[in-house]
Amino acid sequence: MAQLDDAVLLSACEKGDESAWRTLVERYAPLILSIPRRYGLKAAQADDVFGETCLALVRSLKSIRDPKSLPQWLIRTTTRATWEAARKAGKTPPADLPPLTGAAPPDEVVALFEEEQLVREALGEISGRCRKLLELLYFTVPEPSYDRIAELMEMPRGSLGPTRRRCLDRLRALLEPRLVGDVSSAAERPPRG
Amino acid sequence: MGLRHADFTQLFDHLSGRGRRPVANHIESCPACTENLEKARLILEAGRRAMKAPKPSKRAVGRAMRLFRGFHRPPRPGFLRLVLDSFLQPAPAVRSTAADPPRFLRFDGQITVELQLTAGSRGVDMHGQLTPSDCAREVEVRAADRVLRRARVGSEGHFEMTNLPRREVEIRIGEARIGGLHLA
Repeated sequence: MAQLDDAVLLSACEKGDESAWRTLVERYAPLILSIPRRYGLKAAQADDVFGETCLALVRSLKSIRDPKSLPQWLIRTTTRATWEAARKAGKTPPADLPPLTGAAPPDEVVALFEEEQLVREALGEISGRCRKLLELLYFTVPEPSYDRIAELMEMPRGSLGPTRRRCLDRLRALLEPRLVGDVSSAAERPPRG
Repeated sequence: MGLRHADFTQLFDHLSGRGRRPVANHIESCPACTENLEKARLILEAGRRAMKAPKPSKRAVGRAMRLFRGFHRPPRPGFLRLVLDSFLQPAPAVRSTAADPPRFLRFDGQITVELQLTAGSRGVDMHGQLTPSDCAREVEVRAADRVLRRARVGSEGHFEMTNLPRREVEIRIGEARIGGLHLA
């Protein structure tokens, strides 16, 4: 059921379909858990926030009218539960993130986690080998050397370049137009001057 | 001869320190490439954060599955179902800038119970309203099979209790019950 979109899953969940609920939970668990963890809560506290958010979602299945807004809904609900848990635990918010309040989270917080989810979903749609290569080349810190990547990918070093270009093109196509905009068109224009 | 604008791959290589010097020089002096570099940076950083996101524990997934099953199971006779919790709403109907904003809860079933919970000086203060207003004369708060507090219901269905202990309680309104309510 991994390829089903949120509208189908939400509708199935509303009818009591447990496998649809599991798919939805597994799809959004990294997003939900990343919020309390980024705000400094411990793993067990993040699990509690995850539970609160799942509870809110199961109760709101009928009231989410626009399935496309589900990620935003989850971010808002999770930040609310995170704020509550952090307040009880006496946690100070990290310096690199805007502080949460009991009200709706700042737009920049929603955008930050939404972007993360979009990239996560796009990577999830790319074939396993391509995804692994992009993860090793660009998303792993510290970045492994080309030789190490070639070894891990079991492919000649000289093939990494052309393959990565194909994989990045696929990633860009998946992220357009919501996140990337027109990076490709700039590349096709002749240089100025 | 000038360079072509940097493409998506070149921007990613540049950001990850694998770019070539002539391309880097072009990006630095090209407003269009600088703009695209920021878009690529956003994706790169979002991807790196996504890679660090924790996986849910078996316990957490198990709990989510139990919640789902519990919700789709018919409620036990007499127990009211929670239909609104202001702490779990993404955009609370009532917003407060106070450090401890009141919590609003609504339960439905054979009757409707609305609760407002506020942090009191020595516990939690509860203000409630029943609909229909004449469905009960008294509201009982219990914990571990012991009555903690009783309150009379006013003519318009209102009732109040102050300084309730911060713990899990059950509320009984005639035959109707609210179970597993955490007062915190």
